[in-house]
Amino acid sequence: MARLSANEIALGNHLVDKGELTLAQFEEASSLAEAWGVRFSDIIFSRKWVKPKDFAKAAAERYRLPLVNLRKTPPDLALLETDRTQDYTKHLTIPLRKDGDQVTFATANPGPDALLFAKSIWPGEMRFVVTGKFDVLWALQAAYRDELSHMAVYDLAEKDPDVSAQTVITPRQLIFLYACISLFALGLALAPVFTLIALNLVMGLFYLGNFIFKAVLAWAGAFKAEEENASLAVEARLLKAEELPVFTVLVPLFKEPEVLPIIAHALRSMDYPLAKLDIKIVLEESDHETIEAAEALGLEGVFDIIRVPPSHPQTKPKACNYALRFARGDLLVIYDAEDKPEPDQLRKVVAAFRRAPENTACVQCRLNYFNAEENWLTRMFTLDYSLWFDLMLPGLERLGIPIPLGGTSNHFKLDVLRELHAWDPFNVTEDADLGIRLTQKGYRVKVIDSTTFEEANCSSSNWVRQRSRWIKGYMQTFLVHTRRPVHLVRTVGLLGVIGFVGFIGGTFLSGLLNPIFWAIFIFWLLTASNVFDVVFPPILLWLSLFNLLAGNGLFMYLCLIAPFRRGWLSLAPFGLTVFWYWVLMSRAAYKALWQLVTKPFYWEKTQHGLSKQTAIEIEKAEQASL
Amino acid sequence: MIVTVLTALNAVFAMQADVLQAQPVEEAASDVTVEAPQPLQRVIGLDELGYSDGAKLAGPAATQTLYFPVPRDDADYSARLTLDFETRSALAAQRTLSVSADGRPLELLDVSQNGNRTLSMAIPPDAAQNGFLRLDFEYRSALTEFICMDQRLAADFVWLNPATSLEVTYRNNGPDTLADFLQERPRNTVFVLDDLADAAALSAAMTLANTLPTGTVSFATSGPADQDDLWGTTRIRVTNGAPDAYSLQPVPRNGPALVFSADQRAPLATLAATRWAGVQLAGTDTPLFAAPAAAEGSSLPLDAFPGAEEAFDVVDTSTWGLSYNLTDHGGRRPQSVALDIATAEDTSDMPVVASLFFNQVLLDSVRLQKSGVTRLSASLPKDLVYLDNEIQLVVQRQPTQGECRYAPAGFPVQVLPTSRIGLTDVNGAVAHFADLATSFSDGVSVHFGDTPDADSLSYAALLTDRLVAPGQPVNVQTTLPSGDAPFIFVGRTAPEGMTAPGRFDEGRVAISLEGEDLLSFSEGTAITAIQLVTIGGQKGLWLRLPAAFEVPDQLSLGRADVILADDTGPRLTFDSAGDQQIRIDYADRTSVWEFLEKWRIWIIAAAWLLFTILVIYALRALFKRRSESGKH
Repeated sequence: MARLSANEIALGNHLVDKGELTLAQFEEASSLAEAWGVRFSDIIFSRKWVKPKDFAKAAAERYRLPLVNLRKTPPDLALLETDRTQDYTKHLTIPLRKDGDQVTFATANPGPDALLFAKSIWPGEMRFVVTGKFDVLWALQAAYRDELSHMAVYDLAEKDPDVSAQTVITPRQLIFLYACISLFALGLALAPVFTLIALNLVMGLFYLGNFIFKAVLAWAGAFKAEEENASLAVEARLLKAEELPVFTVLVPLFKEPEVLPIIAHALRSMDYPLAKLDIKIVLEESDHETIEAAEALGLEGVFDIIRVPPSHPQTKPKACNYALRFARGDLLVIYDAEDKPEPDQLRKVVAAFRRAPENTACVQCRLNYFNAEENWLTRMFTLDYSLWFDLMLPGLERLGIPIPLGGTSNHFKLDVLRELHAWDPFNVTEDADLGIRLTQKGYRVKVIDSTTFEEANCSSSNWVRQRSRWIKGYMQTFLVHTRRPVHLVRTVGLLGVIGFVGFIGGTFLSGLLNPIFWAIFIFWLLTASNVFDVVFPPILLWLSLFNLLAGNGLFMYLCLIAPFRRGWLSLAPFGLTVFWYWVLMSRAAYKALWQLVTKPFYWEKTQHGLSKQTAIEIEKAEQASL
Repeated sequence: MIVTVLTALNAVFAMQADVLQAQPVEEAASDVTVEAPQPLQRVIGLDELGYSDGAKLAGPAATQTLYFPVPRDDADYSARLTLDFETRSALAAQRTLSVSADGRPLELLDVSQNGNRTLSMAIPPDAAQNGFLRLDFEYRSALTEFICMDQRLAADFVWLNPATSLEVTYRNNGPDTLADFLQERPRNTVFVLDDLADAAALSAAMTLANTLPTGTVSFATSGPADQDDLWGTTRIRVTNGAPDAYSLQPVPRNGPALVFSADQRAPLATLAATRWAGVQLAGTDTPLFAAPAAAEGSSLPLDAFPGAEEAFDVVDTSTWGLSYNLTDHGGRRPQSVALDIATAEDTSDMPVVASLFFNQVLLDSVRLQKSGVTRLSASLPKDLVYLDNEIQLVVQRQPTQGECRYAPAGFPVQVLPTSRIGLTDVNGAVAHFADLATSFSDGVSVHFGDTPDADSLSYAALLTDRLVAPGQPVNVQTTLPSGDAPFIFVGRTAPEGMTAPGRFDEGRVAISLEGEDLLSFSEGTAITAIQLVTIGGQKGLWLRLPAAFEVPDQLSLGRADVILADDTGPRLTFDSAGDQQIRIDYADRTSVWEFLEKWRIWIIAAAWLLFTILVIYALRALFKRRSESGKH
């Protein structure tokens, strides 16, 4: 337990003297700061007892230092070093200006910590001025706006171009594709029947392999030990507050001000010291509506608003990359604005990291929906997610296959994330791509039994938009990581490659191929035509029939059993209607393919807040914050 | 007086030629000849008795019995047998052929010399009983221990050639009662159509044509002209009128013609009942449209096949066989065979082995018990069942040999009456012509797209004869098939909704196999197309006749679904589903598929070229971007 410094005690007393803080609050804040090992100011900010600007004013009075408004007196850019951004944020201290040999530092954390940090930067003569916490952040953002914006976009592309989706397809891949299509055209010209049979055979085997692969995954996922989940929960509960690291939470939003209260409420409700949360509400600079809504919420001092300057591509990973520069935690997680993580999730993550091997760089939590019963689409989406997160991902983990991370609730070690140059802003499923890259770099991803509930899409057009983006991202990820097939085999192993191709490639390929086979089947059913007989010799006919009956039957069965783990039995019968869900999936796949060619980096925005349940959640959150 | 003396040979030719010369019955009837009447003759060849290839007698002691239909009253005719045979043996040995009539020896011929011989011998008319003359031929190969060779080396035989015939000379103008007419009539039949024949009359005629047991059937608008004084064709005239009863209409210098109307079911029934209807007399009123004799339960006993139970001798190898025609048995398919084979005691300890073949495919082989009954059972593979099926039992026995102590001797073997053929009504998918026998087992409708004429009726009768069970209705209709019942469609253009393996009504057609032309024809070519088609899920036949054609003598409808035939018979037969390498090109077609197929190479080349340009453009853009980023 770290004792409160004399400065903090003095500052606390001053705040009490000024009437900004009650004695009881002071005592509670002191004991919590000591118990949790955080700054005194972090406690009072997180409890909204004192606003950061009032704290700065009091600190200036106490230390008899000038109070500076950095928005009016911006720092000298020549004194700021980009690589120290994280340190500036952590110590809330920045060099302001230089007069001769004397450097003036502006700090929102006056005390020995600021002094030592300033000394590490400037060993010479120095003086201090006091400023607000948000002034420091604002000044840094203003100072590094262009530089950080550029880094957010091009850091990965410039430092590790082989894994960047900035180039959609490489010349070598294009030539390979060209050779394959030319060979196919030659086959069609010279031996059309043989060629079509060969193509049919390949597709039939692909389907068969895909079915078997998914069945094995589900089987492996189902056997993941329940005991491990239970012991993890116990270990998480037993963690002491001071053992918990600072957790940076990124909440990227774009034009969805209405759902912000949900995540704010959810984070306040977390079983985790709020003072140990470094929450960044990441907003586009042009999104005034959401910025105003965020400011109007009057959030606690642990909520920082990061304004991302406009640049292309305007994607969530780019915004996260930008915000990452200001993160000061040891661990980092991304939540969507409408997310409702289970309260003990962050503790479980910490516990999972503690018991996992050192090379575990990411913990993926499960996602599911709070509005599952709203309509058919939300039910199917819930079945889909249950299958994906409850069976498939644990299966991947168990078999040691690269895991394409889910969109939110993936918790990273911040240093590893920075080492990997964070997310690829050109990849519209940056999380899936990052999961593969982690494995390639020798890191592991762990899947734990903790769920974040989200809003399931209840509108089919919105769903198709979202799914088309995911599928396009999978296409990008597939193209990126197959650029160097030998390297891929070396880094993830043969089983990993098979899993990668089956899980990433199989997902979008089946979406593209399904309508072709459905059309053939329906045409044959309606007309009893024998026009396709020539490309379906008996063995292929049996294979296709097996795929049609056993394969689809298996998927249907998996959809039926997927909700059983959560006890959502009422959803199970809807698994029988999964065929229509696949139709939507194919529609999304073709849209994705078209966009991959025409608008590869376009972020197809998913509109949140459409659900009735979301409105209820917002109301609940707003009432709770009153 | 013109006297035509026919030899046995030219009699056969005359029978074949008689349909080529048309002479209306009516005209013949009114044509009162002034010539002095000549005795009417009727030549009954072996092919009329079912031995179109002749009959073989082989082995140490072989017999063959033939029954010839003759007038019931021996005062009405005289008969003469023309015996045309070939005899061969690898070894010189005494061999004889005896001929008996009703058990009375007529001739004992020395047939030791190899070669062909033709003999003529008078047959005493009183040897006939009940209108049938029974002739027995017994061949003996007198091998001795001095010659010490068995049949396997001698391979001797006597072959009664198809030219063998019985020449019956009437002392009057031929039969004058229906019973006699039915018994004595030639097997080849011509239906002479009344110009006003309607669908009902045609239906009756087609049904009857399908019911007649043997011989060829054809339709004509006028009666055929036989060679004078030779009764070679049965004439049946169908009228629209409603005469009180059937009638026999005398034809000068020829046998009588049968006249009936569509309403007369009783005489039709009598005609339809059996080839030997005459024996039963015309009074038997067997229902015409009754189902064919059904097998008891789901199996058919051996006694349903005349002669199958006869014992036969085995010296070294003997073959026993029976034919099973799907159509004759109401489309019921054989699915198993169980033969009880009895073997005589043999002191030689030589094993006897019986092998069962179905349509030339070996199904099973067993060693027969030395004395007693051995059951040989086998399931019949569905895909081996054709329209005409052959069950063969080959019995082999190693004869005792050595030191010439014993002359080769046969030991009797018999397939017992307890043997059965298991049947099934289950048809499954109709994929080939043969499968239609089951579909058509309860009759069929023949739809004519155009007004039916004699030739198209003849062709249709050829098909119904092969596919429709005897006695089942064949309804002629002049409407298009609707697909709600089994059908045969005769027309030049496919009706709406018909699916056919080939469209031979759309101009020029070229059929090839892996690039090699098999058959090309156009609208003007005399190619008849017979296809297994579908209308509304109902399978049927489409008979597309060219503008001018002749009906072939016979047509094999087996495991195929397309037959392209000309006047001589099938030119090309194939199974469109199974023979997938066969390709049909329609030069005059203009459908999208045809267009794509025709210009396939060019379309592929154009698409590839376009893709190539796109790839080059994309590569250029990629390299340009890379170069710019390098500079940057």
